[in-house]
Amino acid sequence: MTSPWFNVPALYCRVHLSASHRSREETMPAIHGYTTHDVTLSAVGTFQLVAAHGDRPYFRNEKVTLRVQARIFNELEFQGGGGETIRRGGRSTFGGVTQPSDVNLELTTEEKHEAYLRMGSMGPFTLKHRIDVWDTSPPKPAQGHVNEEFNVDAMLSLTLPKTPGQVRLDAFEKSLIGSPFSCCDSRCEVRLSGLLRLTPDVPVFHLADDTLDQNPIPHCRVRVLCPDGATREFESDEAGDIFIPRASTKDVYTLLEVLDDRAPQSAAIPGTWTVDTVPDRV
Amino acid sequence: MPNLDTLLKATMLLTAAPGAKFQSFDKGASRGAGGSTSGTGAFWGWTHAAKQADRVTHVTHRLRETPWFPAQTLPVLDELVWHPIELVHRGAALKLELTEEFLLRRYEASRGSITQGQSSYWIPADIDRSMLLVFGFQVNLRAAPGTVTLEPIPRDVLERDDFMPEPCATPPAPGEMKVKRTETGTLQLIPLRVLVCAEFVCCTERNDYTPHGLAATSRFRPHLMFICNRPLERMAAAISIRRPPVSGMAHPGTGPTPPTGEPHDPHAPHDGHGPHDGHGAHDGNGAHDGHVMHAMDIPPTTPPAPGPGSPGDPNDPDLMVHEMATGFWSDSNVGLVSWQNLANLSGPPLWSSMFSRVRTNVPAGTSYLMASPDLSQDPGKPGFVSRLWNGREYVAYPQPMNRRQGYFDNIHIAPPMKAPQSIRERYGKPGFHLDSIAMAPFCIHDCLHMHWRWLPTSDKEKHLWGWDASGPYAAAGEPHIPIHQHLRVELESTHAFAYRVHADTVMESGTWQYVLHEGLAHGNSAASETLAQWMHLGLQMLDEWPMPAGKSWAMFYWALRYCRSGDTVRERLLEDGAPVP
Repeated sequence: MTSPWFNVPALYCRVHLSASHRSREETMPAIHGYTTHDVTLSAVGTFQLVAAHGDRPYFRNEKVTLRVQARIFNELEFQGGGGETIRRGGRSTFGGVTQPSDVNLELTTEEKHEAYLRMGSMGPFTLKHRIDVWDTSPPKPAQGHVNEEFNVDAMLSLTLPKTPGQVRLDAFEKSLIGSPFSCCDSRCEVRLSGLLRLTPDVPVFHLADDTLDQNPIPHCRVRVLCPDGATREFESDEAGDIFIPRASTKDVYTLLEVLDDRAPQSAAIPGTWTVDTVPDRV
Repeated sequence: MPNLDTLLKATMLLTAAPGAKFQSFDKGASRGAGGSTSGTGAFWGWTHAAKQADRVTHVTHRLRETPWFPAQTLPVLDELVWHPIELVHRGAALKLELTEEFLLRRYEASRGSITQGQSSYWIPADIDRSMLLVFGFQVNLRAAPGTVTLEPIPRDVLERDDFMPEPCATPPAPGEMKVKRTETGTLQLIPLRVLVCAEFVCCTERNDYTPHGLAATSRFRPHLMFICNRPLERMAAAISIRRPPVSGMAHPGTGPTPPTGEPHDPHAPHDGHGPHDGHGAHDGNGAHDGHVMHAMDIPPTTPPAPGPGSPGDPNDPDLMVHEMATGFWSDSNVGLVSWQNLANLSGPPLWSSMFSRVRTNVPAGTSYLMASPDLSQDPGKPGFVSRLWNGREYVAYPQPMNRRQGYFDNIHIAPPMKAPQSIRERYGKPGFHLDSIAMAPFCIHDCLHMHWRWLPTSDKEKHLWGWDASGPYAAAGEPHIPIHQHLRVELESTHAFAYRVHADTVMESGTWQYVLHEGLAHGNSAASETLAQWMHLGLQMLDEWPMPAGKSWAMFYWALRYCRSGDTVRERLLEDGAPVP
């Protein structure tokens, strides 16, 4: 059987992984030990997957980076030998772009169009960060900091459409295997969103809200200064993307303003601006 | 820039009880015990259910024993409802419904204190069982073009340090937004967000609710506070305060508990005392129309030692009407001397000296503008004319008005009194008004008080001052509501009212807006019970009445309002709207 996915030269992919949860559990009953785990974090990747088909459809990119924002708090509270409450924990707030790693998509069964999307199969996406730590144990309570590496890797199974087309990743959130974040375990809830889409290029602009989920904003009109010096209006599609054909390597587009003359954009103001490099097709 | 926890420190509950625990209702949080809370503190009891997050029901207050009644727990409110807050930003209207979907946290505390000078927004108080509800709203930027829908603020946003801007701050611009051939630029948009706090803070008894500390009342503060990350062009909010239709007050020897001993169903239809149903109709002299009311006896009381004697005749007691009635009063802006005389027992608190305008037994549907920035901005300028009885005729007296002062200054919902039976039998003539006697200028029998303005008091009583541009308790004699708000009070029934405010001037981002900041109070007793008893016995105006009058609190109140000459009875201050006889 020959899959039509063999005819797809490249996919544009946006993956968004996030977690926002807090738990407090009695993990060491013998010493009245309670563990608090409180995280708010997201990892976003914007990249192309380029065809490298073998005997099955296969797409890959080995230079993907993820943009991470994280706030992590972990603490163990327990009763010491003298009946006193002891706390040991760490807190870290950090953000940045990870070291590059790979992402690949492989169709595993052509009949059912089942596929695996693997992120970091050759090694996790890593980002160094500093954790403020404390230990209130007597007689010498201590505090300081340690440097650690935050890791992200993920694998999920998904079903591709019979005819190549857009795939929404949130439909496959349940198929995430384990936790993608090194600070969480498999019991922690992780949200997945994003999409795979067949586009000839990557979007010039993407509009999203400022929440952890970075929900894409559709139908958002913007005014753009184009390389020819003209100012033109564009509108984001359902995925919050604005595609503009880019011919020359010297083309520069400037987002001048979000047109806020109608709801709901009239109730929004511009926030954070980030630029992701999306390497050309390998 | 403040995060959620920092912002909430501005609330009254967390000012009084900074360590109060909360139950989280945001998505993914454990719901705990079903989202309902019900119980009684040392004095106050109430019920709140997350499924009806916009209301508090079955509010009760435990009264201590006084010389006039035994200790007892009374239903104060059937329910209190926070109606949706309406906002306008850049021409788009938002309706914030305080539902479980938007409920983020519910704080509770049963003790805590605010001391003098601790807060410029909250006067000293000791709190009893109290609650703070936190709601979060944001505009859904994914909605269809041209539409505005709201969604809860996500947890991760609440935790940010820049969750709300500093007051009046302009958000930083993102800078130049350029992308090259191999780049994708992502612009995050920040939606309009509103944080709403609905507090139900119940306080223990204090004597700071009237000038000169003459009354002992327990305040409760069911206000709204909200803050937005954008400037707003308009806001409107309303709170309904609904008492039981009849009083549950018990007096010594009255036997069974009156009809409202059990909480009234707050969802039962309110009584049909429509605007013109006769029950509350105006009789031309501002008193009740003689509608037959149920009544309960108020037998003699035991004065505290060393008391001046027992008021009331054991064989011919005062009576109270069971049904609640509502009245509006305005303070006389030159009435402070009368309050002082009251404290010194040198002059009875006649309505003509205490008040400038009054309306009693107000029918449902009645509505007045009570404060507004559109009203007088010139203190001392005559605003309206009172008609005072000088013993021969009514004399027109132009009342000086204060800034923003509206039609009335306060509302009282309480069961009226009835004169002792022997007096009513002998003098029960039209125009004597002995069947429905309003208690003022102070009342302790199951009276719900709300004052949105007090007369100008000295700077020793700044807790009775109103708002200026800097905040509350700053301007003597001015309304106790923010200076840009218009207040209208509307009677929903003879025992319930809606407190409605709106503002049409720009409200800056990152700035708390307050609704019903002034709170209410439930009467307990006189601050000095001995003083009250002396005041009662010293009222010589009742000397010409038969004996029971001299011991009757009902007749004491009657004499403060009316004067009699033979068979003619006149109001000392002619009720608002009544024809001049």
